[in-house]
Amino acid sequence: MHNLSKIIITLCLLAITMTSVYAKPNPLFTLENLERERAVFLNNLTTTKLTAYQRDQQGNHIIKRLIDMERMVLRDDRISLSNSVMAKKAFQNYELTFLVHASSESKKAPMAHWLHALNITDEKIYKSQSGAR
Amino acid sequence: MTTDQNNHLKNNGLKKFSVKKGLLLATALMLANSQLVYALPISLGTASPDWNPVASDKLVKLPANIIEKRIQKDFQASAMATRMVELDVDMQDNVTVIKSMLQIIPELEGEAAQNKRFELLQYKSEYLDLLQESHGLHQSALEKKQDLYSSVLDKMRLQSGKINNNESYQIQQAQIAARQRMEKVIHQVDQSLMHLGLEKKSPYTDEYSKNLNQIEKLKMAINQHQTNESPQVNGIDISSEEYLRQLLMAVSTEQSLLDQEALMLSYMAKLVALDAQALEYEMAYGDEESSGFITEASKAASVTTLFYQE
Repeated sequence: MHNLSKIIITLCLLAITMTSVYAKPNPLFTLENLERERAVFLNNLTTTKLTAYQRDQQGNHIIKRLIDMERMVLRDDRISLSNSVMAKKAFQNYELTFLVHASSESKKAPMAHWLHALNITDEKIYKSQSGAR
Repeated sequence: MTTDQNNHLKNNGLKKFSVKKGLLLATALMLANSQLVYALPISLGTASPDWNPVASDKLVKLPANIIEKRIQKDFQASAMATRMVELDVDMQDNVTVIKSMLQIIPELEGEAAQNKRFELLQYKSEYLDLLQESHGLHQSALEKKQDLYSSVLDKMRLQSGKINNNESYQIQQAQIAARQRMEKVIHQVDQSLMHLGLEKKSPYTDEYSKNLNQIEKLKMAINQHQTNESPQVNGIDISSEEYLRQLLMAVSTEQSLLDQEALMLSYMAKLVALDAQALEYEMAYGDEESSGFITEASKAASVTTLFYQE
């Protein structure tokens, strides 16, 4: 009887240990990765250092990484437990945060979807002027 | 009249006096108690052997069916439950004695019968005292159980309310909605990758789909585990909140039955009091037959022959 209770206590402790292993220090780690990658993707569009071919090739690789990262964020339960504003805003703006999956819904290329979500049209771009804000 | 006879009469008189006194006292107490039992069952129930359960956070976190078992176990270990068991045993002994006396009394006559009847009344009175105490304890235990279940239910509701209004709960809901939205286009996105010339699956996608099946099997095993089963009533799965509401209803049922028992107890006490009173009258004024009994010697007609010679 005494041994049995000892085993039960050990198993409970093991379960607690497993749970604490699961709880990583930064719950927003995956979301931060996604945001970083998305920034790189948008930078890929605006940078003048790349040729059209290079932009296309690099863009495709980033999209592939973005797909994984978006799925990781959506499947990561730690994010919702973080209770952070960043997480809240990320889910509120699905169209922009989960760019690749949202673009697939709208049957547009991810970049076109991003421009469309922010209402940036060709016309607006032509009318725009460069200068200090 | 001899001295022995005098002593015998004196003793009898004293005995009768003490029996009378005892009966009067018993009658008065019975009548008083019978009123008290029915009018104030709660005040009598809060006697010394106590049980003080607390709806701790630890208790609230347990599955509902375990909560009930835990409370029952805690109660059984209390001084109140121990006293209730003792009372049950004593009452059982009393009932056995009363039954045997009821069988003996019809065979007895005269003073022996009277003494036995007095003894029987004492046993009945004792039994009613025990029953009254037991009833009080049952009432008190039920009230405490009711308070406990109510506070567990309140805490459960408070927690679920807090969870529902919680910021992280809102985020969780948003994430679930987003995930469901993503699941709908997941194949479409995978196919679009092939169009882009990126046929090779990423290590994440590859491993994830492999693990997913195993995770689902493990989840199913957890859900089907008997320790994780939701509480059932009549074979139907119900929520913890509903289970607690059922427990509260059961307590109410028991309480109304106890009220009925209190009424029975008061009637039984009244009957014992009436028996005691009847016995008292019988001892004070004797039987009608014996009081009206006229011996042959007291009839003048039957003794006239003694005064003359034919």
